[in-house]
Amino acid sequence: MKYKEYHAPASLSEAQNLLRCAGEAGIVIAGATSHPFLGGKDPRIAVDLHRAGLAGICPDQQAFVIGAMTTVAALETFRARGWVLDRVARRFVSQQIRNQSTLGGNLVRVFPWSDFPVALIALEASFVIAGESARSLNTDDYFATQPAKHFAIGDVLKCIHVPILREGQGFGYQKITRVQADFSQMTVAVRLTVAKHQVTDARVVVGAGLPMPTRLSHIEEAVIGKPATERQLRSAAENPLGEKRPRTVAGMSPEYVQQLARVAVGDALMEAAAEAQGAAS
Amino acid sequence: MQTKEITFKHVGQGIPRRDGDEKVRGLARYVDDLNIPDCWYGVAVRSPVAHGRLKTLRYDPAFDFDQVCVVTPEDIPGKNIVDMMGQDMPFLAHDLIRYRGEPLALVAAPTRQLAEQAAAHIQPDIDPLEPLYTLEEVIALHKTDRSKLDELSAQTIIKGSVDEGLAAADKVIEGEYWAGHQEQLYIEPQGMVAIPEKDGGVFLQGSLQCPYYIAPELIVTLGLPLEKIRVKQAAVGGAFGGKEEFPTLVAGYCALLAMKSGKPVKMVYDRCQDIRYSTKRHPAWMKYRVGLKNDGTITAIHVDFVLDGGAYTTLSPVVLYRGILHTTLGYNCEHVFVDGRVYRTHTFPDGAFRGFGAPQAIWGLESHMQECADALGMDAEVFRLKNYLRAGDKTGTGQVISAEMDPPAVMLETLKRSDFVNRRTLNTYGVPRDGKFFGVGVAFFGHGSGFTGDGEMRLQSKAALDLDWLPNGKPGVNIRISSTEMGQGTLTIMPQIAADGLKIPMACVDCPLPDTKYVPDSGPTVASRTAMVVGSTVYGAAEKMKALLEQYASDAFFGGHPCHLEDGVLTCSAVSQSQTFEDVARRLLEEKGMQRVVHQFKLPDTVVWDQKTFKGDSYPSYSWSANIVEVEIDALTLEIKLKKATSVWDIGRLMNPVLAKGQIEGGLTQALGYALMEKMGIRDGLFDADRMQTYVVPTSLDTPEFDIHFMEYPYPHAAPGAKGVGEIPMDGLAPAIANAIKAATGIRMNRIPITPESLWEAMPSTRKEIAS
Repeated sequence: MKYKEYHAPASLSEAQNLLRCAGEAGIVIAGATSHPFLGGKDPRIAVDLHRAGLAGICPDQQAFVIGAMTTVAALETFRARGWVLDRVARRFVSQQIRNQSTLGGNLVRVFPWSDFPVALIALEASFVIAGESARSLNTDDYFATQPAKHFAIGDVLKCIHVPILREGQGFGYQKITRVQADFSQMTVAVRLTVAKHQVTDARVVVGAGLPMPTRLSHIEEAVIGKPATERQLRSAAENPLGEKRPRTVAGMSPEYVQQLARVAVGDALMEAAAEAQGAAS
Repeated sequence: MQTKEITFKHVGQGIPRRDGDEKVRGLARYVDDLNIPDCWYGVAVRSPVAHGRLKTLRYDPAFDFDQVCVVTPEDIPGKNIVDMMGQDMPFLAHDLIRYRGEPLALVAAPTRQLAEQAAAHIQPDIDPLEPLYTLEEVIALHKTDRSKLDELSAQTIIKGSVDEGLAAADKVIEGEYWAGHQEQLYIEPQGMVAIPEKDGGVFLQGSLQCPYYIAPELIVTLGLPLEKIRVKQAAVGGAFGGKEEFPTLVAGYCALLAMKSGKPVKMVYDRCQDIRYSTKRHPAWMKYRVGLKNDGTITAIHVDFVLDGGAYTTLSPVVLYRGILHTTLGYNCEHVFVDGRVYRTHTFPDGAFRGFGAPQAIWGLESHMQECADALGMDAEVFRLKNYLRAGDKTGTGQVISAEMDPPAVMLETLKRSDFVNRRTLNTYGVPRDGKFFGVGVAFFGHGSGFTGDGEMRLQSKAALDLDWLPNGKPGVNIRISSTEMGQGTLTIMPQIAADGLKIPMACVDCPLPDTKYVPDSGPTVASRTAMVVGSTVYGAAEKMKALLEQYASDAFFGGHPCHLEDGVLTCSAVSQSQTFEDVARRLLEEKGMQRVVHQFKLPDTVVWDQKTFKGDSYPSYSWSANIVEVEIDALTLEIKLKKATSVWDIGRLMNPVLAKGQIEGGLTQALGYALMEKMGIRDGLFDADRMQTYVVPTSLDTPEFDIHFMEYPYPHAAPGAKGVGEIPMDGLAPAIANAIKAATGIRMNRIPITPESLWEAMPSTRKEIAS
């Protein structure tokens, strides 16, 4: 894809105006790491959001408010109680790409291998879109379809609210790749809430092994109300993808994808349970 | 030229690479950086089918073709052939189409976009024929009905009587081994620019390894004499063999368009085009039958070695020759039979790639030698050391291993440094420990240095040194060779060698990028020959230039008394006077102008080779190595992690240990990809992994701990005494890893790349255990 014009607006409103003027030809530059994958022969009008004041991480009482232009490298180095996205960022491709890629860019156009949607569905994030007026979408609504479809011309993802992990909650994240800098073959994120060694709430999400990030409700149901023991959790992960059709790439058999999911879901459940119970104790 | 008694000041030093600074700072000028006024862009109209007969090209009447230049076969001034081996490849297909993407016409236009639009408005009308795509299909026919195959090349190696050797064996061990395509994946894709010259000639500049391949190979097509085809290397962003013969095609496309349009024409492939439409490593299949005595003696080696050549011959015969020469290399055996063949498939022609057949051969050889050791219940190193060639032994072609080589020495040192004997006690043999399989594996191998047989004798490689004004305005020496810098260090080691031959500071020596207008033919930058052959030729030229300077200084400064050049100073002991090199060179240049000396490489007279029977000295010399690796495999996901690779290398005298180590680390990393990751299938006639998203290669994040150690056994017949280092790092890691995987899992993987999913398929019992 080629650009025929390049703009670097100094504010969100200026960016929105530019995008509205550009119409269908407009395209946002967030990290631009996905642009090589985008088709279309017509040159585009690029609107670079780096100067629009949309980067930064701000904790409030309930959630971390993350500007859409926050780089993955910034997510990796940020530290606060209840913050877990550093674990996702650390496994994200390579340092060069982490420096370039932004959280927002990963959330507006979702590919099968995208990492952050998997984690944010598990964490129950919400998404603020700046359009004619600002609006917020919860996770399940936001990812009910390809998120790009939520955006009218001139709309920009402004920020993401990621709930702070509370006491009794744990987060597990597993990613399997062929090489360190590769796209994921299997990504699993889990948030468990555990009280008195019983799982009281669970969100289990798989990506890469399925065409789009997907909650595994049968696993959530299998662990809620049950003891947070290894036997119980591994047993729940036994048939991770259920009847869903695995996404097979690079010659992997569906059986092998199921095995990767089985291992990754089991490990992520164990990781989350350990953190949840460690926090509870 | 003997290497004895020579002392070196610059050779052997880890001098920083000379082109490093400009490359790191983005100043190096690659072909796409060349700003050429009024330059047009070229594209190819490619066949949408892999096999068929072209009936016609249909031009869309709605498109204005007057604004572009179109070249069809009828526009080719000379013959419509690529003048490589076989001469079976047309520049533009005009009748029979043999691979998908084969060029049918060329288009140039003032913009790339317009050229692409024009190409899209030319539609071929083709009668499709049945294609043959894969090596698996080829081998099925090779085993059952060879008459249905199109053989591009064949060669045998015969020593003794293999039947006799097999009959004398207590056991015969058989095994088949497969290797897939591999993509070079240099950072900079293929690119070339052609500029028409006023005298009717053409000037070509681009990303290439071998300037003197392109110019002679285009004579027939362009209908121009050699002197009217000038080729200059631009900065090259990696090549690995991929820019050996293939740039001739891109150069030809650009030249044809430039000659018809009268405009400079540039073609630069994007990554997807480059992977789809450039050469790959030949897929290979080998079948070994090895006769063994119970005491471990090898009585016979029988090898079937088959390559998938792709659609045209290109360099496949030479890849085959070098491949079969390595199928038994290193092992002492009286009875050898190697049957090598290359067959045609309807895929992009395969071509040169670092190792040139040897990585495939050694993959099979060292995997199978481990199978032999296992079948006898012998330890890996005991079996190998019992059978390995030593000085005085003969190779499969009858070449006597000369006294200055000690192949087992690298094996013994690698065993010691890796603590192999103790580490292998941790092998899991299929029973995981703490959720992991663990194994240690070994491979022991050699690689021929320089051209095969008497190739170097026939090539008559030349190097020139010009005493001239350097770009800094000072007098100095320009090295004029056709060897190219493609990341391996030519621009650094050649000044080291020349400075040592001349006995002057390295700052007084420059090595410009080659341009056929100025450099003699030093031969191609291939075959692990640059440091050994061209380096020696430069050293010989440097000695001649030194003599010239000493003679001039004697006459001009010292009243005819002899003088001696050392450390940049010419000293005449008879008159107790001295002059600096710079002062003498300045006076000489002002008085007589630029001075050139030329030297030609010569093999020792003892080298004897019969190209028909493949008997005799198959290489001037050999580099040797052993690789010992440790692998860890996740027992649930079967992800394979190379934890450590210990290797010892005899590459002759080290020219620059830092660059040599870089070559080896890079080569081992490329070999790691070949062994475990780089998977390339064929889908509808095209390579299915045609972008970096799908063609997965290791990065520095995936490399293990490398323990690299050198043992120097200089080549005595070509000072300074280098042997080959460019290719050998590619050779041994794959079988070492496969042998380690067997030690870890108990499973012999006989096909590379060995991926977790292929291990999954190969381990049904493990799968059952995991499932339960």
